[in-house]
Amino acid sequence: MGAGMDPRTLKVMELLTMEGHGIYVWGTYFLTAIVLVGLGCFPFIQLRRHKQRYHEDIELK
Amino acid sequence: MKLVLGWLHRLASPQHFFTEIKPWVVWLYIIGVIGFMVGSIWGLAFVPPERYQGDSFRILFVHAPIAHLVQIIYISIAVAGVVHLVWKLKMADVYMAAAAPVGCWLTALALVSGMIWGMPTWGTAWVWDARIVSTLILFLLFFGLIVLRRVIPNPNRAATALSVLAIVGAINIPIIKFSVEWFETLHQPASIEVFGDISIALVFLIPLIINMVSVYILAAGIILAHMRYLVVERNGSKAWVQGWIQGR
Repeated sequence: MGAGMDPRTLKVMELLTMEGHGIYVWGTYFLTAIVLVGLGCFPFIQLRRHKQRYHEDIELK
Repeated sequence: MKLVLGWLHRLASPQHFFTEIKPWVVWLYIIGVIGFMVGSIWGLAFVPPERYQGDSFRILFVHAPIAHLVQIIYISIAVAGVVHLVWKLKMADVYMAAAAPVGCWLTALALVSGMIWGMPTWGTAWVWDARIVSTLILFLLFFGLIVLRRVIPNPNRAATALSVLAIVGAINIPIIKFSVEWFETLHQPASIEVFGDISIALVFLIPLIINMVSVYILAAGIILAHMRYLVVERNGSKAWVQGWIQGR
């Protein structure tokens, strides 16, 4: 694989495929990123919702 | 020392906690995210493949820090449980309520990342291994803490029940830690001992330590952010919350 390929592209390909382990390694890092971003954003989203709900209640009154 | 104690004493008040902790959350997020990115990129791109596992061992740089972190989160919840039972401190209950879901999600992540790692290295995603089972019990304990709060309508009773479950469940932590020594397991013994030898090459150790410290910092920020939200939710009728909502 990679005959005649640019050495930089070859390196990127190696990093992505990791000799067949890429799917496991990248999958784990992707999942970790999703969970951490979700946990990190959740309280801020909830705070914003709380504020919005309050303003909606005021408008209804 | 007096200054620090005074500051901590002030944080026991929900209003002060809400306003004073915000810059801490921001900095913990920034440092945690940058550190985690540095450690992960280092582990993914600049560390050579391990001799036996090849590239799949790179999962270690996320799996091990998260698996270690969740045990510390559980211990901290048990300590908060003791604080709640002894001193009836409101913020101890807020801490338990904020940390339990974070611990639950991260334990699920530790289990799933371990399963993914098991596929190429052990040839299977799941074995009834002592460490995996005790970590599954930890997940169920975190889940139990969340459920218990929802099913008990009286907040004081819920906090007491939570404290008791957290304290009793802490018995599982030494079982997780020593499971690799007490039982026949596929997991290897600890590579890093605080007061013992380090049996991991420096080239692997550096990104691992960076990620460990970073997830601790990030988790502290996330739990504090969750606490801020809970403080607002529980004190919604108070004048200072109304003032914050109206931008005063």
